Amino acid sequence: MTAELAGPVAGDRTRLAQLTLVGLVLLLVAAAALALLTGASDASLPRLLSAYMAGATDDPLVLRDQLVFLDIRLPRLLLGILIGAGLAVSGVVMQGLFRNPLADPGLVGVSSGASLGAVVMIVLGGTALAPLTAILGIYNLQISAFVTGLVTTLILYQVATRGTQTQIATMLLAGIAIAALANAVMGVMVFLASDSQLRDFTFWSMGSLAGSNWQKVQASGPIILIAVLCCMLLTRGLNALTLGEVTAMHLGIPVQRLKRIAIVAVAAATGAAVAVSGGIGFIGIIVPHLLRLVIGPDHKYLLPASALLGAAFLLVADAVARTIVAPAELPIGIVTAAVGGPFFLWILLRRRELAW
Amino acid sequence: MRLPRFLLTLAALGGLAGPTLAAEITPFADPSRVAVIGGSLLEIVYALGEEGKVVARDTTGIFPPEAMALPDVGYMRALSPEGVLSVNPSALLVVDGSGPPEALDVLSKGSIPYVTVPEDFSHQGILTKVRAVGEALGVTDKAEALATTLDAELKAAEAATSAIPDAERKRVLFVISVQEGKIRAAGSGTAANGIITLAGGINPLAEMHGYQTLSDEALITANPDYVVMMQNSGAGDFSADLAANPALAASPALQQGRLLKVDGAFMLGFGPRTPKAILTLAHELYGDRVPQP
Amino acid sequence: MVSPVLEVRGVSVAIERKPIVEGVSVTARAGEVLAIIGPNGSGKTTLMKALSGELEHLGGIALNGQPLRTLPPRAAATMRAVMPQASVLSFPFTVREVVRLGLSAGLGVLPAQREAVVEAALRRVDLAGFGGRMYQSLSGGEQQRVQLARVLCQVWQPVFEGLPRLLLLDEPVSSLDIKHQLLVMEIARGFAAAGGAVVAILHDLNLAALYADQVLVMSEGRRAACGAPAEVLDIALVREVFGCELATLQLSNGTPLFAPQVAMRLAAE
Repeated sequence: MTAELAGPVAGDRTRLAQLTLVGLVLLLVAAAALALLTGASDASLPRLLSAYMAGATDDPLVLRDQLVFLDIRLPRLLLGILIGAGLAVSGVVMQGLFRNPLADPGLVGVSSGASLGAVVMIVLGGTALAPLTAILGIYNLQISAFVTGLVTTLILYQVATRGTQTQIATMLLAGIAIAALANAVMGVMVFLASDSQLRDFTFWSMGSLAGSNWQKVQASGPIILIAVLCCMLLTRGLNALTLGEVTAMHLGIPVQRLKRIAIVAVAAATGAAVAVSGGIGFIGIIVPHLLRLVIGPDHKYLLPASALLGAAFLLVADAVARTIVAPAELPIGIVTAAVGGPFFLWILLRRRELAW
Repeated sequence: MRLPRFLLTLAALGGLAGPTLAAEITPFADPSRVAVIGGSLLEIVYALGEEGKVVARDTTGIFPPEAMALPDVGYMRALSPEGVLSVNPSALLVVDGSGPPEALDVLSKGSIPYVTVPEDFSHQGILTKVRAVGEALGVTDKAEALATTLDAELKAAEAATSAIPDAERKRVLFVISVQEGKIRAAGSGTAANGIITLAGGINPLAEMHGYQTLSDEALITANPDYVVMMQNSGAGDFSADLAANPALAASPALQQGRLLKVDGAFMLGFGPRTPKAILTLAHELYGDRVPQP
Repeated sequence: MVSPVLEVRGVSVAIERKPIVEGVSVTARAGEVLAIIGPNGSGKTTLMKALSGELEHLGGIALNGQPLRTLPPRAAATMRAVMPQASVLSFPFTVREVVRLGLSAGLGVLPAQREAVVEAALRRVDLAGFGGRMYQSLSGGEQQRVQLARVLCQVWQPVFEGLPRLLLLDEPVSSLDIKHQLLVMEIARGFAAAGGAVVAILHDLNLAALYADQVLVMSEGRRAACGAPAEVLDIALVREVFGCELATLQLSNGTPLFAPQVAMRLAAE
């Protein structure tokens, strides 16, 4: 342990954290390059660039390369970065708020709400909700998931807020109740679903970035970006909250406002991410936990580091998902879960040893 | 359900326009490298002898066996645009219901023309698909010939089964999966319902739409003479679960062990092999009163 | 040395509509240590929670002349620091990182001075060289001293910009050995001597008698007595409030000393 804490002064991990941040920026750049340069097709960036130089932009091969880079890989890259960062930062904020390293954004109900919105749209979008589908167009699934996720969180927040105080413990319990309720409705939907609708829902719940395009970047990008930036402002509050809500208040933190901002930001970031990509698990738990082991729990560094590592992790996972069974594709949720599951077990085993 | 007129207009504008109808299909400018999405379309292309033009299939395209050598671009409802592009297709032949819409949207941006072939689990549906494929590939004559042959074969098969008097028709339950003892079976609008009807059977669940999970009472009312299920289906072999279900165990099907395991792509494909599939199923139901396939 | 840092006027606190503290008035002045004593359930901690802003109160509490209710959290944090009875930490911070949390909250400090202030606070609570240890690996008493160091960093100047600052200590010696009990009381005295004010809940009557300038005796939610230890801590009052036998000594300056254990044993025989 002592080696980990080495710095100019004992117990000061600032320098280590700063070096880690630099390393993570480089890692993200490398992951982005990997994401941009690998894929099922043999599109080649040098070929595309030299074609631009030569002005030969109407060659069908060049047009195809252009499509692959500009309309498929680039929006997918951007969404990967945004969603990875959004999910990891949401994880950090939830763990800080619930003061538990195993908390995840699902605790504020946004995930079960979004799943519910998605399954309702998949099953009823063509029949009972056809007018709505008509208005929302081809993004009906995404919009419905986002809105339902946010509404669920707001209900949960209302239930857990008495007077001016939001009871985090009540929120946790109400979250369980709402998840059960959402599951029941989902059960009804699954019951009503046709075979292909079931398959659609299964694919959605396993997560994928395959549907990435510029419209989705434009729609979800600003939401996730603003939410993540809001979370970055919570550094001092989340650090103080480590000592409990009362001590945080003594340290000058407006605790109720902190909770409100944190919950709304997490719901927005997670809701937008889940709506676009479906269920991608574990990033919000693995990434912060790994970083806490390396640089410690100071949110000043943990928040940006989680954003960087979350983005890099999702890009690499997506590169694997896109290429391992090419030209077909694995759902990315399978890749993150395949890494996340064992890691999670390892966390639990470790926690038992440390007994805290 | 009646919808206000303006909503219907919106639906048409909102990217929900129905599949391109056979009459509107424009032939591919370059049909030399076609990716075929949908198992029955792939069978039709092979039956037309046009397999030289195919460069890729989707996960549902598994017949004829030599087609398995083609690259698989994923499940028809979860296509990845770059995966499809990577086989460098000049055109896409896509069965209705493929997606996701975003993937097809990107591909159409890539100036890869695609034709959506409508799906209908009926005699006419098969002929429509054959003609649509022929038109898209620019082989209308061959397609017309195949359609004529199939039409004759289908009529012959239907004639054989229509001779069965109504009173002697068998009640056929098509079970798609069993989960925790709950049986999920085919109602109307499904390929299973189509083939049961064509084979001269009665689908006791025809009043339900799509695949549905059944209550014990519904099973008792269904009272099937035969239970059909897919071999090698993703759901595994659940014949033991069927026998364990008290509501079904009393039915003639279970009492006399009349469980049929069929090849899903063959029986439910609604393609060139369907006349044979009709006769195969009908022969199982009615024995020699129907000619051998 | 008489300006009131903390003015408490007729304060009542109810928890779930049950009155716990009723009509308590007291003044904590700059340069003084105020000890709050009283039996279990007498409302000491509830009063402390009202003073720190954690619980709503009726009546008036003013910090350096400003009503507590109108003081925004950030401003309150520069005016007073609160040492809780016990603290749990949910993430693995080092001792230094915990102490720094105080620094980032209170009066603030120039970056160049930060480590010096942290180091001084750690040395003050006899934890020099503990900066690199994980907080959770420390004993209860050591953790309590880390919290004191954090609190001392929050108001690291007992008088800042001409205004005295306040330390609220809730049973600051409850899990400490004798040596460190005395150390913590010395720190409280030092803070007062430098111009600040200290309010501490104490159970040990002798520590209260020896270190406090003023003692507030609580009984059943009310103020039973308040004043200098030599005046207030007379044997009849203490016996009545705590309901137990006491043997007393008196130091030459009039400070009473209590030997409850001795008295109890004698009574039992």
